[in-house]
Amino acid sequence: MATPTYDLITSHTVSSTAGIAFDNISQDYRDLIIVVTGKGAFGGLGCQARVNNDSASNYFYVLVEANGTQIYSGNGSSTRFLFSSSGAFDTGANGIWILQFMDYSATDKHKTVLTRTNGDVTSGRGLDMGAHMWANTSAITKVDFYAGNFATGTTIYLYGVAS
Amino acid sequence: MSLILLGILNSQAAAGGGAAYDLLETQIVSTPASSLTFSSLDTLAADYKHLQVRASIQSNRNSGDDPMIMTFNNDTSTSYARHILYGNGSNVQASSQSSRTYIFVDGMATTYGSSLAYSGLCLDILDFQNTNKNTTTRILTGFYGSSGNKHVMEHSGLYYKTDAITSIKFDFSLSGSSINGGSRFSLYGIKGA
Repeated sequence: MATPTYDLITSHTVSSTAGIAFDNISQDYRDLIIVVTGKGAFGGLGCQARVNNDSASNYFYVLVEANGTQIYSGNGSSTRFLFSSSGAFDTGANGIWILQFMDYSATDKHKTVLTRTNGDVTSGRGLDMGAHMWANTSAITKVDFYAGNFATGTTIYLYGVAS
Repeated sequence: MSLILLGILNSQAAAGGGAAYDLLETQIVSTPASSLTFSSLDTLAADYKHLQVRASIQSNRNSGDDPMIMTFNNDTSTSYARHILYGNGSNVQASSQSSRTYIFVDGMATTYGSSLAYSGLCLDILDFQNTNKNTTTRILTGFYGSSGNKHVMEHSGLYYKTDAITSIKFDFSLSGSSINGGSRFSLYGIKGA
């Protein structure tokens, strides 16, 4: 028998501006996929998250963004994942973020996260793809989205994909 | 070849009402391997409409990055093409290739600077059993190496033939390097109407 997977582990719909944390994440899967549908509570924050309460400068990114007339590539590092530019995380229109944590439960490699972001933004860049890296070999057990990122009604889904 | 087959799982799932996304096979590379192949897809994946490969990949090359190639059905004729959109943090490029003997999947992570960086890869192969159309693929891949080497890429691939896809092969033969230990490739089947 093939093994059914791509399981919904949990979801959370934002009802306040408090941070959102997925804690005690099951280690029964190989990849995690987080899907965010919604919009930002404030301009300029972007979609940001930490894993395992790590506040060190262990988060790196390279991305390509487009807004219909221009295309751009940037990179950098931070004390948290910066999953999209502030422009792609609009306060006026809903967007979609698909965050793929590859081999999140492995302990022999740094963690790569592939991302795709789409939003019908009124300013900034509405189309985004990125490769992010958490420079740590620990299994990811917690993903903590930055407090105040999401507007009320935004929903975040956590899926597990087995291997 | 030093692959650990975690399970070649023959799908007998009944159509309709069941799961739509199933794990079919995972291969984990324990020591450097010259290539990695998913085969017998005509039986292994017979009940599915589309395929997805999810992988963490590293080449054992000790330099920058490394181009991986993908071929179908052991076919090395000039029957492949691809387009790519690429960003490395400062520049964006688009390019294409046609009449190639493989689908080029460039820019995989290597051991250069660190043995801990792996490229993430998500490959979709649509309508892989359909014999009335050429087969198209999509790949999202990227990595950020500790040496500062980094990029993110979106590929579209084309197999000019109408043959059903029965095998998928990955290798680093263009550089002569190998798929390094710790790399992981998982094959999933997606149901269709």
